Amino acid sequence: MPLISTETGQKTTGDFTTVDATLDQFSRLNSDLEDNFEPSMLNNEGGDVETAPVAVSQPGGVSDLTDVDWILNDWIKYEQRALNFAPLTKLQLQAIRLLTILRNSKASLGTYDDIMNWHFRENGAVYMHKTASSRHFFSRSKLFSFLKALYKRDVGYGFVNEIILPSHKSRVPMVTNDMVKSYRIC
Amino acid sequence: MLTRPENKGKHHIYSDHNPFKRPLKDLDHVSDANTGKCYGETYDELITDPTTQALCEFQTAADGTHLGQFSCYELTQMQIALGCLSREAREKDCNWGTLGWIPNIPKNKSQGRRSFVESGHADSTRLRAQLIHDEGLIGVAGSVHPAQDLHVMISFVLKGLVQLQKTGFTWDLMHNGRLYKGVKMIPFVSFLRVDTKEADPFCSKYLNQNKHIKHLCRECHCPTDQSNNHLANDKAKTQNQIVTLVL
Repeated sequence: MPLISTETGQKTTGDFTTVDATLDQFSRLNSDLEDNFEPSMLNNEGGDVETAPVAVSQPGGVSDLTDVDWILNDWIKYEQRALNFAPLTKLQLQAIRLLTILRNSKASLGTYDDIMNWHFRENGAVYMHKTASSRHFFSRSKLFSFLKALYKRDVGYGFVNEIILPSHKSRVPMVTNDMVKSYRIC
Repeated sequence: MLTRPENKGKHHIYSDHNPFKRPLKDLDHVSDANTGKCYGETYDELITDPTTQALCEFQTAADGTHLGQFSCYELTQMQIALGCLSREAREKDCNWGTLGWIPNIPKNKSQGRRSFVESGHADSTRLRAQLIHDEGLIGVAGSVHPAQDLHVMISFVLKGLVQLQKTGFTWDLMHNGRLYKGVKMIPFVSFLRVDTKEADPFCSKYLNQNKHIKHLCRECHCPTDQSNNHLANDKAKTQNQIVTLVL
């Protein structure tokens, strides 16, 4: 496996502001917001729970569910942004194929990096007492970060909030995903 | 899930391949989610304009898992899938989205700290201040039933889904090579797929199942001593009756 630079495909991500300006579909944003699809049987209001954000692992991306067009407009934004992504490079494809093999074989999460370290040690690119760094291969975390941005999973996932339980009075960390991202996975 | 390239036309179960059409009323069989009584009656209730509105069924599931053989920590995952997908499509992992995770209640840690504070020991002064900061006022607990804790967590995870049901959403629906623009999707949740271990606390049913329990059944008022009567036709428990237990 050849050596690669540390540069990833981050420059390929699109600019939201320019995309916003060119999208004529965004006229939907100014459409009538009075539409109400609320079924008559679902008008009971639930009490809010006292929450405190602990660590938002993926900030932003919270959907505005009061706007019935928000989901569609968000999807159109993503489609426009996806046009600016370059095709996957050969090295990225190699790394993805290896991750797929490991995933299908139910290997543990750290196996990818272990295999890479073994590979570069055995072929002499790295001394046996050293570990291969990101100069030598795409680390799993870096590859996942790239893929998350590519497939719009970089926002809206893994919100961590603490709530206080009313009976036990203990703090519980709650990990949730944005509702829209959960069912409209790109 | 609405945009998954793996889902082709054959994976959708729209009646006559038309997302706006109501399933036939005189069906003599049940084949998939949209041929049941639930879907048809909900369609009649919610769809007011069949030319622009489409019923969007959500199926939810919850299943708990231990994180390890030697771990007491348990997580229950809440997931949703689209009811417009066929049963074969819903069996695929990629067609299920995760709303959140419900942890088990770490009552041991809190109860231990609380017991120490309530003992009035001189060394507990600092811990008392910390406990008040972490968990609110001490001494006011007890007015809320412990079963409420689970339902507070469930309501927190399902908050977005409830909001989406209230408002609906607009979508450009692609089906069988045809694009339906500006379809107003009317979501509804048909059922929650759970094991008995999760279903009992979700319905606020007693977890022990001995003779002192009035009803063993979660769904009807069948008395415990009649539970072995498979011909029993007792009154079903209603949503309101369950709500009075959990809210």
